[in-house]
Amino acid sequence: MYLFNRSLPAIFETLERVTRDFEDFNSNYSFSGMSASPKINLYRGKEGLILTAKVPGVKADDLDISIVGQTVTIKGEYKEEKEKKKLKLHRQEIKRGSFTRTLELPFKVEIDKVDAEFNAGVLKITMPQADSDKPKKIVVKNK
Amino acid sequence: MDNKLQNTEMNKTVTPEITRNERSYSPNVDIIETEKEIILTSELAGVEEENLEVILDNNVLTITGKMEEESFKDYELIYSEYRPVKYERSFTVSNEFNKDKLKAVLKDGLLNLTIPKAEKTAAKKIKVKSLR
Repeated sequence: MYLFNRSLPAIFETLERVTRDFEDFNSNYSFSGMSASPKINLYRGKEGLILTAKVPGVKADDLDISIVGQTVTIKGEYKEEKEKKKLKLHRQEIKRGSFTRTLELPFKVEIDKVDAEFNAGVLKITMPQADSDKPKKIVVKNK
Repeated sequence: MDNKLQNTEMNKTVTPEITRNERSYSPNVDIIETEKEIILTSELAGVEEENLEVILDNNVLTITGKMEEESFKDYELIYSEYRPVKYERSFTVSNEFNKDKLKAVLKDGLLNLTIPKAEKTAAKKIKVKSLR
C-alpha cells in the first residue's frame, strides 16, 4: 500500500507533461534551439512539394527564404509594433524576435520555379520537383 | 499526495476550452495599456475576415475565429505540425474604456483591437433654486 502511494504522484506528473505537450500542439511555435520557430506543414504531390508555415505578425518583407540543394531555410522576424508609450503591460504572450527554421526536403527542387505566397499570416511555398531528381524510367532491353 | 494533486490543478496553464463538438484553442494575446487607450493584439494565423467574430456583450469581449482549411489538390499531407483549428478567447472590459469606440483591424494574421479610455465626465455643479 505504501509503495502504491509513493508512485502515484509521479504518474500525475507524467500525465501533466503529456497534457501540456498536447496543448502545445496548437501553439504557433515549435521549439528548435534558442528561438521559437514557426510551425510548418508539408504536402507532397506528383509535381513537388508545398510547405506552409504559421507566421502571424511577420510582414512579407521580413521573411527570407533560401534553398540550397535539398535544404530550405526560412528566416524571419516578429517585429515589435511601433513603440507606443506603454503605461502598463497587462499581458505579453506573443513571442517576438527573429527565427530561423531549416528543413531537409525529400528531394531536390527546381529553384527557379519556387513560388512563395503570404496570406493572413500563413506562408505557402510551392516547390516543384527538380527534373534531374525525378525517378527516370529505365528501359530494359531484351538482348 | 493529495497536496500534489491540488497543486497540479491550480497551476494549470491555458487549457483548450471545449465548446459543442469542437475544441477551441486560446490564441496568444498581448495587452498594452497606454495613456489614451488599451490595445489588444491577438495572434490569429490563417483566419480570414469572414471567419472572424468580435462580440461585445455588456462588459465581455469575445474573439472567435476559424482557421482556413488547408488542402491542395493532388497533394497529400506528409508532415504536420499544426491543423486548422478554432480560436476563442474572452476578456472583461472595465467601464474605464469607451466600448462604443472599439476599433478592430485584422492584418497578416494579427487582430488589433483598440479601445480608447472614456473621458472622465467633469463633476457637475448643481445650482440650487430656493423656493419662496
